[in-house]
Amino acid sequence: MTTADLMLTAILLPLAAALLIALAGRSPNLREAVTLAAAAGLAFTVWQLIAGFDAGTAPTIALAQILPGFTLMLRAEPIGLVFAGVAAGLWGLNSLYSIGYMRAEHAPRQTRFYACFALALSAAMAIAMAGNLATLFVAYEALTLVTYPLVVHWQTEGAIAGARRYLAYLLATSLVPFLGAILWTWSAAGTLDFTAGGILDGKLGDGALTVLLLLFAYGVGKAALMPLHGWLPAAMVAPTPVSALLHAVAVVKAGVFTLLKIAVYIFGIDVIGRGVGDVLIVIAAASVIAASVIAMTRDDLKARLAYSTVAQLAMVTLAVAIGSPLAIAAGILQLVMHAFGKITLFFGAGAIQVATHKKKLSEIAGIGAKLPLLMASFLVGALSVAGLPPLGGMWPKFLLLEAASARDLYLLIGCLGLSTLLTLGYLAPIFITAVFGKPGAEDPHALPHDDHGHGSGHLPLLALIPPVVTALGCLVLFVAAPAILRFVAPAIGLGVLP
Amino acid sequence: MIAQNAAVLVVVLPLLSAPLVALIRNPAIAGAAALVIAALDAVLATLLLCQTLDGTVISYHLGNWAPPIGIEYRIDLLAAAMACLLSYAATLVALFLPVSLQGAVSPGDRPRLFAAFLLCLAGLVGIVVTGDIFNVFVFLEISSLSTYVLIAMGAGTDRRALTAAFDYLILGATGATFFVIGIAFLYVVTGTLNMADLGERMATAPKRAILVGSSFIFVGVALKAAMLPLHRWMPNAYAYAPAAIGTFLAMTATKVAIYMLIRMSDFVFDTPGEIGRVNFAALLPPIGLAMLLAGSVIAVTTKDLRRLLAYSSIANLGLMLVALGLGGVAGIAAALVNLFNHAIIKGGMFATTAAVLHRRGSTRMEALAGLSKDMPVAFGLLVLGGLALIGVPLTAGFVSKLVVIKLAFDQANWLVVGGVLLTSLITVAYIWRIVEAGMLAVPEKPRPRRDLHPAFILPAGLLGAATLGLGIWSEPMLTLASRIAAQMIGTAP
Repeated sequence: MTTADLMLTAILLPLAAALLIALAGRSPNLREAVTLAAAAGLAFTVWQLIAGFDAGTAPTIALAQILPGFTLMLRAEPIGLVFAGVAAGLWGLNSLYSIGYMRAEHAPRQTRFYACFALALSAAMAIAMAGNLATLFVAYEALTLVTYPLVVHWQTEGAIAGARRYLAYLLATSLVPFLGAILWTWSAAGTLDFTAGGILDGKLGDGALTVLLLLFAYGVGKAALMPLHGWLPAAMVAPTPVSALLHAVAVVKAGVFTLLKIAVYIFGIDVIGRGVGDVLIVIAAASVIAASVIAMTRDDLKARLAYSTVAQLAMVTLAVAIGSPLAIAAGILQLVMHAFGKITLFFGAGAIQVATHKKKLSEIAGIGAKLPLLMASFLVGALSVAGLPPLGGMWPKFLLLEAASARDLYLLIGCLGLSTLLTLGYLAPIFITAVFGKPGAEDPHALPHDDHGHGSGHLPLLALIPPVVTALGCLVLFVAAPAILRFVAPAIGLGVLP
Repeated sequence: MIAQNAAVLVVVLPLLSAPLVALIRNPAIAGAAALVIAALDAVLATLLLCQTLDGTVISYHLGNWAPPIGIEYRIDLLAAAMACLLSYAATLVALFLPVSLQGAVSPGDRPRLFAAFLLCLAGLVGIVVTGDIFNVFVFLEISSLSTYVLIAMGAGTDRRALTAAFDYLILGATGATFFVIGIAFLYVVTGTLNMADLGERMATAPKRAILVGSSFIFVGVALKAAMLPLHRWMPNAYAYAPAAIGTFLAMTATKVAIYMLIRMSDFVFDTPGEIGRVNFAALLPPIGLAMLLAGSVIAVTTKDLRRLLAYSSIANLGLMLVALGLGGVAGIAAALVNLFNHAIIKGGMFATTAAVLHRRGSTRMEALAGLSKDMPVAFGLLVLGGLALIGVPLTAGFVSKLVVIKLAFDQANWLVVGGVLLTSLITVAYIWRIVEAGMLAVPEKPRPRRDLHPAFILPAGLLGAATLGLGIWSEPMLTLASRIAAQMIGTAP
């Protein structure tokens, strides 16, 4: 297949899968087989794209014209392919985990669940391969809408309220500041195409560019920059595989990916680096610290992880704001590494819930003895998120420190150091409590154990294998990081590799 | 022969056949006759569109009396496109009109309802094809009187239809009076009723008399367009009329009032800097923004789906007025894109609502519980229309909003940019009430799965498909709108 065919396949395959899943609703095994086959097919397709990528011959596919100048088109480029690779690669693992989790929890409405999951992947692929801001915006909105049924899945009062908040934050930001910023860009530059070196240099003054960058940073609500992060903890009402999708596979990742893309191809890295991004540096750094501190105060495991995501992905925004090839490289690596680290942690938290029916830090003392392999993977994921070697998570932190010191941002270096400590501060207690804590008296508020097998310490194999695999992935990525850097280096003008 | 006389047949056909339909005893045959006549009218309108697409203006002299003495039917691209919208809407509605009347209107009354429906169509088409301003008034009255009757016929389901009809009767009659007084002023100072002629003679007429006349006309049209604060009649009229009639009115009635604004914009209203005429640029954006805001906010608080859609229509009419107020070829084009797209989007939603009413017997928000389970297609169509109203990309509604915002952006009119962007959020709030009511609310008792009655599938499905299609392939609509606008302003397309 040609590159163009592969790109269309990557978007259409999950779309077709969603249709088949809906049709196969009567037979759960067939339905899940469709999901897994599509996930494998998508991973293969994206791999082909990455392996065969050549900047010189990357084709542009025009799809439709909504207004003259506001056209839908696709074009593959390295940063997008990295995002597509992460999302496609993790979909299969997440689906395996979903099968274990959803069946163990006897969840209703599973057909809708798997169908919307596939639709979300299709939207994520379109975001990854968007050739201009118009296409990216369209796919971004689609992703918000198709994930709504996933967030509201349990349809309890709490789920409805959380999903409402999810939708309100994401649509409010995208329909006002994001669309406004896109129109502004369109007016100023006369185009919305992603172009190497950016399209805005010389079209707007630096003051206006600073404002525009902030409009984008907050308009892309999926990036969850504080104080517009509230949807992410609210969306924790969703089933855990959905949380994993939101945090690691598609949604928040799509947000920070959008920012990276805008920085590289709309503003131009140098333009941001010459001072346009300075306000955003302060906001993003504050977001990193504040979210980490809040994470330490949360008792609910998933809420703790949610704030951790807010902090960790603010680092990508920070990388965008610093505006040097090195920083952008750090941002891209952070996107990949955080995906693997955080999905391991979410798989872990969900597995704890399936096996012991416990959701809170204060309840999990001593459960590690029953779940040794799970807790080992959890530890690996936590250390990778914190940025310790020999795990993949080390690279982005390291590069970010280098980028900060290259611009003499010493205060920022301090912030980053502090954030690593804080990360350990909110992740380590989970592991320590679970493994070394003494099981206390049974919490009177805990839900009664039922006779379906969950709550009894039994963990389905399908809920255990995925976290182990992603934890191993964190190790592999430590070695593979330079390869990723070499792949994206031409696109971001990264010269000598560290 | 038919092609040459299509200009007049498009009005005469429904006008003359209406009394004949009223004479048919059997409601089923009468309903079929109404459908056939509406469809034939759509064919005639399509013929007109084909003849005018290249920029030709058809001038038909009634009784061979040459204008400005005789009455002239003057069909340019705008008139032909509007005639198409009206007759297509009538055809689609006629497809499910008989079914939606089951249990709502007694069989004996139905033939008369079909006759009033055809009269209403004739009146509305008459307004758009005539070139004579007094003739506009006559057709306005024909359509209004038949509309009062049609709304009152909703009394079989809900007695409030009677007060809704009465409200509209009083306000509509007042509006018509303003309109005819305005015409009188213009006639006195210019001595002509032919609209093309009027435009030329007004240049030399006394400014004060013209200002008074055009102000009266503006108020009359504003009432028909449900312009704030003259909108009171509209939500009840849409909500309590028989559901199919509500659909027809939502697609046509206020749209024709917007048409009148556009049509008269080149001689009664708006010539920037010229004293003596009503100034669009100063009046319409504030009124439009107020409607956009008020309509959306009230829609959030309504308890009935049809009232929600009606208030949403007020917001959308506001958007059309804002676009018109931005002025120039681009402003008129943007208003027309909104007009046609909104007729399609809202028509689809009202038609689906009629289907829900047919199954459920109520369109109150509570009655929607479980809709996604027992009427998934209907629910899907409602959500699709709702997303279009919000302005989600890949729907016609996104195109509508984008043309207005882009135009305002280019004119650096930040008030309009901000207002339109922000009201999208309020739209999310009221559309999500439909989503939550239909998908998440738990019904008292589960209903067996019975989706749209077959009669609704074609009209609701077509309008839904067009909502999507025109969002992805928007070029035909944009081209049509800009050609019409260019012809109106008198620049080469």
